[in-house]
Amino acid sequence: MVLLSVEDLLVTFGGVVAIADLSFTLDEGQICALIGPNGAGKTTLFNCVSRLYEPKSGRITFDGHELLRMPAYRIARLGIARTFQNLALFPALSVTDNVLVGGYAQGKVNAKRRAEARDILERLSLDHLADRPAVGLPYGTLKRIEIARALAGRPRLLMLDEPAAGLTHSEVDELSELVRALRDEFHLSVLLVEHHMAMVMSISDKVVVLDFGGKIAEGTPEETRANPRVVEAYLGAPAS
Amino acid sequence: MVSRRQTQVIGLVMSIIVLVLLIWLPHHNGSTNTLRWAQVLYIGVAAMGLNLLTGYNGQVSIGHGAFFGVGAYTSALLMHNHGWSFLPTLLVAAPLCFLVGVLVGFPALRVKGLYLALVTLGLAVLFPDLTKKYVHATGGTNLVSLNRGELSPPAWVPTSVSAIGRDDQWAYYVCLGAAVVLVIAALLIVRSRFGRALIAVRDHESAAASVGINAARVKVMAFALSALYAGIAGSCSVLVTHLANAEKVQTFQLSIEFLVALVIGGTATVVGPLLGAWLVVTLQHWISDTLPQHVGSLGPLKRVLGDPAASPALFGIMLILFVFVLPDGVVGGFRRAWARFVRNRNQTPHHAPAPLAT
Repeated sequence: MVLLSVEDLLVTFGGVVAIADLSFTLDEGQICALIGPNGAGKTTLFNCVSRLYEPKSGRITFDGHELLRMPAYRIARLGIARTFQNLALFPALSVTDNVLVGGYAQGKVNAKRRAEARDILERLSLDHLADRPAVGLPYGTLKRIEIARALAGRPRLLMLDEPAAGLTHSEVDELSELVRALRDEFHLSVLLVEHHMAMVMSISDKVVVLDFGGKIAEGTPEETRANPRVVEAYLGAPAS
Repeated sequence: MVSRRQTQVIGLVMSIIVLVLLIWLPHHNGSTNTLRWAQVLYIGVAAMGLNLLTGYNGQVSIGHGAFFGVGAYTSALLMHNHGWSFLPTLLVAAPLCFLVGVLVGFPALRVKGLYLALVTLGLAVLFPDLTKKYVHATGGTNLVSLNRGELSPPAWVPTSVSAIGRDDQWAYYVCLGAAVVLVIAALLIVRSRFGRALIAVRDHESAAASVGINAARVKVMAFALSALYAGIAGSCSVLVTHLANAEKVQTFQLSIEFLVALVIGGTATVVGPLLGAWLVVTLQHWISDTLPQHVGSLGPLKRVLGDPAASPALFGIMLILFVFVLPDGVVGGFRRAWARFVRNRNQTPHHAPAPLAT
C-alpha cells in the first residue's frame, strides 16, 4: 500500500529550480533512500513534506491526506516525524523533555506517556542521560536523541536527514542495524536522505536518485547502482 | 550524594522560610520599608511575566510598562470613578490585560529579535498618549490619584496587627498574595506541556513545528500571559503608590526596570525575576537615598551624585557590571556554584559514553 506519494512537485527559490516535476511513492513498511549529489533537492523535499517550504505546484499525499493543504504543525498529528540534517534539538530541555516534546502531538502528558518516553530512551541506550540537559552531549548521542524525539511522536513515517553524517565507521554500521530494527519494532516506513552509500545500499528497499532537482533513477539498490545515469551523476560523464 | 530530589526539597524548604519571613515582615518594619518590599513584589511579578515571554519564549519586549499601565489604570479608574473596592478590579484588569496581550501578540508574530524590541518600545511610547486622550482626571492630566477612602481595604480585613497602618498592611499583603499565587502559577506553567512548547519554540522553531507545536499560538499565548502578569502587577502598584501614572518617562523606565530585574536575577528561572526585582529596588534606593547621605563630606563628589542623572547612570554602570560578572544572573551564578558543590560531594565520574557516542 502506498503511504506517501509525491506527484509533479515543483519547488523554486526566486527563479532557481530546486525540485523539478518530482514524482515517487513510498510503500508502507518500506525503507526508501533519497540520494544524489549535494544540491540535488533531497533536504528540500523533506522540508516540503514537513511544510516548512511551500512548493510552487504539485501534490504530496500521505495516507489519503493532502499535506500541502495543512500547516506545518498538523503534519506530526498524521504520523510523520523527522530528524534534521544539522541537529535541531532543544538544548535547554533535558533529554527526557526533548523526547516528551517529540510526543507533543499526542496530547496531554500522563504517566503512560512518560513511561513510553522512558522505553524509547532505553531502547536507544540513552536512559542514563535522561535527566541531563541536551546541551553539551557528544554529537553521535545528540543524533540518537533526535531519533528518540522523532519516535516519541509515534510516527508511521520516519524521515531521517543524513543520520550517518559525522559518525565513525562502526557507528554507521550500528546505525544501519538500528534503523532496520526500529522499522520492524515500531512498524515504521522510513524515508532516508543519506550520502553514506554503504548504508544506503545495505538497508534500503528502494532508492530514488535525484540530480539537479529531478529524478534520474528509481529502483532497488542493485538496479540503481547499475544505472549509467546514476554513475554519470556521481562520477561525471565518461570522456569520449 | 545530593540527588535531584534532595535539591528539590532544599528548594522547597528555602521557599517556605522566605515566605514566612515575608509574612512576618510588616511586624518588624516601618511603613516605608514595608511598602518598598511591596514594590519589590509587584515589580517582581511584572518581571516574572516578562520572563515567560522573553526568558522562556525568546521574545524580547521593552514595552511591558504599557501592560503594567493598563492594569494600573483599570484598577484605579474602577476604584476612583465607580467606587469599586480593589479585589474585584482584578477580575476586570487581568482578563483585559490578557486580551491586550493577545492583540499585541498577533502583530508581534511578524517580527523577531531587535525588531520586536523596537515594536514593543513603540507600545511603551504610545500608551501614555492613549491615556492622555481618554483619561481626564482633575487638572486635565492623565494622572489618577486615589484618596484614602477609595483605597481602604474591605471590611473583612482585620485591623492592623503590626505597627503600620491597616491600609499599608493591606497593600503589602495583597502584593505578597499576588506574588505567591503567580510564582506557583509560573512554576506550573513552565513545567507543563505548554511550558516545554514555549522553550521548544524559542530554541528551534522549525523543529517545534515538526513535532506538532503551533508556534504562532504558543507565541501569542506567551504574550497574553506575560501581559496578564504585568497587568496584575500594575493593579497592585496602585495600592502602594496611590495613583496610576503614565508619563512617557515612567512607562519607559518601568519597561526597562522589568527587563533589568529579569537579566540581573536570571532569565528562564522562576525565582530569578523576584530576586532581580529586589536588587533593582534596593540598588535604586541605595543610589538615590543612602549614598548621597554618606558622601556629604566629599565636596565635589556630592555635586556629581546630587545630580538627578546620577542615579540612572550609576544604575546603568551596575547593570553592565552584572552582565559581565554574572551573565546568567544571580540564579544562574548560584546554580553553577551549586553544581560544582554537588559534583565535589558526589565524586562519581560521569557515565561512560553510550555505544554510539563519539
